[in-house]
Amino acid sequence: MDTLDAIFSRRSIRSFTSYSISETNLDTIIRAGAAAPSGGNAQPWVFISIMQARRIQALRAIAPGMGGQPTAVIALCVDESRASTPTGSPVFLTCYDLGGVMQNMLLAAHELGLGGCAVASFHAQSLATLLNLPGHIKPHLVLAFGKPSVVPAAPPKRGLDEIHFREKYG
Amino acid sequence: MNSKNSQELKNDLFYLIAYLITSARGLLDEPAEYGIYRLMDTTGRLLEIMEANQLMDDPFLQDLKNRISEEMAGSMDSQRQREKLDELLEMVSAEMSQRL
Repeated sequence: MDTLDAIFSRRSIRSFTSYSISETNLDTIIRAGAAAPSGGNAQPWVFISIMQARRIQALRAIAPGMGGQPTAVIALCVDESRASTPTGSPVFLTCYDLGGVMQNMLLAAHELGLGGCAVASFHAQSLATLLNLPGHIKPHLVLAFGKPSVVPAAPPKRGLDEIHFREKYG
Repeated sequence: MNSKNSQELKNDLFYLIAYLITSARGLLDEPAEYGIYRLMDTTGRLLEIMEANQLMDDPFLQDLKNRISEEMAGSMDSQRQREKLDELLEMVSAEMSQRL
């Protein structure tokens, strides 16, 4: 699959089969995330991967945005001690950094024949408790992965004439 | 139901309760439309629990579970959602009438 095919054919997957993701594929997804760019190369992220069924069941309870029954979950966290670069890049850049991580991981999963969905609807404090996160590690996003059992149709997108302007706005 | 199954059921219901409390808290900060997904997801999760605990001997509920699962896997589109929910309710009300 070439890059553009992957970008245009990826869908948010919210329904999974019971197929277990291999350690090798999980490792590839993690490495794809870690390859994302970051402001000042701060790499402020920490990833927690979860594959134990019991733990995933508990995560589903505190992450209402998680659809279906994923067989692997990765929590994208920020290590706040690394969230500011030596040159003082602002902390808000970490959100953009995690956006790149998220997209890399979802595209890597798609390339591997898997599917995933980013979940922001979770209770951060409960997640921190479940994952034993120390105070300076903050969860920002949860990614659910598995083998897709339903691949939804492409959702409607705004026309380019609505979102793209040449040379100046309007 | 033996005691092992009963323990499993209690465990599944415990997680469902946690899910409901988390959803209630989340909806304070989330778009109101998400409430629709939480309620549909709760329905799906209840049916999942019934199936996992060998309580799904009803073909109608099995069919309903499959339809909800498909619906939850779809993209978020309020027009489609309205049509699908009306369709599901038509099915459920017809079944209720039959069961009277």
